[in-house]
Amino acid sequence: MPLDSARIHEVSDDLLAAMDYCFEQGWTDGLPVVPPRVERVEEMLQFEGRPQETVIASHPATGYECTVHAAAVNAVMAGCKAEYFPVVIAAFEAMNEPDFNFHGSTASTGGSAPLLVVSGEMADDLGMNSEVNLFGPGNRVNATIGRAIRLILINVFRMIPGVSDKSTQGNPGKFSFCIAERRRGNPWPLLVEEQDYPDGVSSVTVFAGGGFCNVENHGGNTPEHVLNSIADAMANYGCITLGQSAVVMAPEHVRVVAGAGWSRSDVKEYLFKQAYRTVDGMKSVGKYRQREYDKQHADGDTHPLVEDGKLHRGLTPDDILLVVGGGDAGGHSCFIPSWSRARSSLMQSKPIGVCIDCD
Amino acid sequence: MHDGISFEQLGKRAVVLCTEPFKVTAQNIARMMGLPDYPFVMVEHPIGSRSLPEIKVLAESAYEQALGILHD
Repeated sequence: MPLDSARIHEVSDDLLAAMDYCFEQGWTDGLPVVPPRVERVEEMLQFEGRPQETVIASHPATGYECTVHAAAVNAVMAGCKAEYFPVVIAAFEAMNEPDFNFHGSTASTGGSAPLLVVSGEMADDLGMNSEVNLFGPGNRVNATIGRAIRLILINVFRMIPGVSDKSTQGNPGKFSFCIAERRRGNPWPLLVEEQDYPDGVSSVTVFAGGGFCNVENHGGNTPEHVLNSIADAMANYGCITLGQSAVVMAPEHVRVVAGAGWSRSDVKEYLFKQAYRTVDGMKSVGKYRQREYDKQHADGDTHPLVEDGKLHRGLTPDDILLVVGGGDAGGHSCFIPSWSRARSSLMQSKPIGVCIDCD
Repeated sequence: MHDGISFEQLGKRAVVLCTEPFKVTAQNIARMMGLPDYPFVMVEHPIGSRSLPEIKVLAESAYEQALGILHD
């Protein structure tokens, strides 16, 4: 059920008054929004081929639905240009996949935020940032697409902080959490190429990101040096679960690893093997759960890299979302844990602006 | 809360248990589902880090509250 049918709100012909009106209605993330004037919403809708009543996502617990029109209104409010809209739509279609569990991942105390990773030519076409200050401010496309996701969660799905969004601490990505995969100087196939979409298609991958851990290593000059640093972050006692991982490797680190001939899958396998804690170690911090160990070490269903007596992060190397991103200088990669103690949200991807295998 | 009310709507009695910090959230879901006064059991928070004897005390209290709701 749509929360409310679309209607026009009239305010005095004054931009600041309109912004204040949006605040008064509770339609913001705490920052001013762009008042969604009708003509801007209509311009946004030009970038979606389906009727504006089309439902792109529905909330499994409340039944609230997000239509193309509602998404467009919130994209305008977030400051998106119309050409960004297909990314917003594709992201919500990915979040709408049951395995993403967007109710749990957006309502839980865990405080995760949907991280969007855009891969392919569209990132460059739109002018997205995949390089210096990747997760920081300064790029309208990254900032406003990520913000549109949050405004839709608040305004359409009523994920209200403190009421239906019970994040214990939240995380800064809940304002906006959207990056592009770096193509320039990337020695590996792009994420979208591994996702088996047709040539020329770009994709957005959504990942319920539970925070951000910087991995600094300026002295390491072998793949093992660099990757052991990242694996240690992935396996820290505060983060380790059976959940998935997002790893964004800085170009400086990638040069060390790829320069030694390591492929993306080599890196994922190495990280999976190294990102573990022992059973005794898990017990020492009160986080050991037998059923999690059994799930990872199940007879006949155990990844060959899983070792007895160890709890690895994730179930297989493919539980690691690995992309290149960041500026040319600096030995700073990052690890982002997925939401939840278990595997309650799994990353999903969708092609942007095209319909593949649709009815 | 959603599951509890769904059971009731299917004709099956149910009791929802909720720890204190989630009271507002539970009330919000109950209101949204058209039963703003739907009663539920309140339990002290947290649960996960308590010892078994402590849990037993909480469970006994929750059981008494649940009986009261079911007998209404």
